[in-house]
Amino acid sequence: MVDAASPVGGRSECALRLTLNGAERNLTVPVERTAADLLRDDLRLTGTRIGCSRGVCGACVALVDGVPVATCSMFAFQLDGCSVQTIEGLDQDGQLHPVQQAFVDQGAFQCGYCTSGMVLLTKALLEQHPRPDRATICEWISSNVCRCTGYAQIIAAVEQAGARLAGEEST
Amino acid sequence: MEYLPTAGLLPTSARSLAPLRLWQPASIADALVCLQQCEEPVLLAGGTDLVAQFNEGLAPRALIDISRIEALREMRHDDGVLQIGALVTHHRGCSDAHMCSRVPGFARAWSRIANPRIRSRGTLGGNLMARRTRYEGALLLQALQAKLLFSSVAGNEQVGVHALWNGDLPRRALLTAIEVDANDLLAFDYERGLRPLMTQALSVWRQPQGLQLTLVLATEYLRPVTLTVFLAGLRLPQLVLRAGAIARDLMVGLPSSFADAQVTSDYVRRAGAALLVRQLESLHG
Repeated sequence: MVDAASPVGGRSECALRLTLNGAERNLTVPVERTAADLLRDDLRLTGTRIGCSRGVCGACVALVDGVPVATCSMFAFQLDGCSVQTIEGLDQDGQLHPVQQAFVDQGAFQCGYCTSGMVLLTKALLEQHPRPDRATICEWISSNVCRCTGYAQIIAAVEQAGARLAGEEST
Repeated sequence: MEYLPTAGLLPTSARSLAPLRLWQPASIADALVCLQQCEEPVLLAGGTDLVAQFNEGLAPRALIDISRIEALREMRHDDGVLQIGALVTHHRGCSDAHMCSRVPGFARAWSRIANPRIRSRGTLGGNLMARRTRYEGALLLQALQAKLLFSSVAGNEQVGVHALWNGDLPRRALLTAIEVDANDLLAFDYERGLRPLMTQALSVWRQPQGLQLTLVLATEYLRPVTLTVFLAGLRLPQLVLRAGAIARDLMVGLPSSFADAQVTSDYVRRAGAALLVRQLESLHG
């Protein structure tokens, strides 16, 4: 085994410094802790859902440095030095984010289990492609699974949010 | 290997992964020390697949996080030879300007695997070393006759992509890069319209007296199989005129054992021939 004198060391816990929903956090986590468990169980940010536990369904998506990531498939220590945004950090002064509002307006959810991940995925999409065409929307939305809506309302919500954020449609 | 009795049935927050010790080397040399000294280590690259493997029963004692090794993120191109660092993400690799201009067919194919969320973090090296038949990196690179470059304390070693499946991977070695010699590559096309039943990648190579076609087929559960034909005296624009005959001749070589729970070899032979005709026509168009 690598011992303590190894130039690269080995440890069972990691100290993290991250920005979580705009606030600096310093945490210590076991190596095997997943990011989803850290968010849900340790930090009680339960808007991060867990579905498949293997990075497929996208219910657990958070934005890590602006990139949508399946937190169930990521170790918590990988968040060190990162800026993390969960669904709890999206509204501003009690006002829903335009993406959230578009999901409400379009009825883009039924059971709501996928909605946190879908909203965050949409936010990331619109930051990379402010006015995405339908093919781009479909490709991105295919990253996450919704078993209720059939996706039509979600696509409409993405289009509406894109238009609002681009200032083409008033809220 | 120990399988958790509830693996895959409970949400992650309802149980914990087994305790791990973590190493985070910052250089290839340090990573090789870890590989040599750690007991039952696994490597963490992009991290889009490893937790899923844990849920399926993988239970290592040591985790070597190689994501801090900047040398593994390099992309090089020299005299038509592309070298893709093992930590290059799908998104970055498929949108690289040189990649898009030198091997546009491969860049297009690479941009279609997985989804935008996975592509932003998943790495080509991780895709290969996960050794899952349904992952598409191995299929594409096998059609490109790519070499996998490994480093270990014993030195550097190159192996073909087939080594992923036949047990010839170097032991306690680190995949550092993937090398593609595109000098004689005339065309590349990937067909995944029948995925997950089957997928196939086609490459066309310049030969002194004609063309060589390489077709690699895979299914959700079967290791990729390579079929090759040499076409004397033909040039690329002429392929479409003989597409049907080429497809039939090539598919004759498909082993009858190439079948799984979803497809028979006869299905793959027929569907693959139809897809190949479409691919050859697309090269012409």
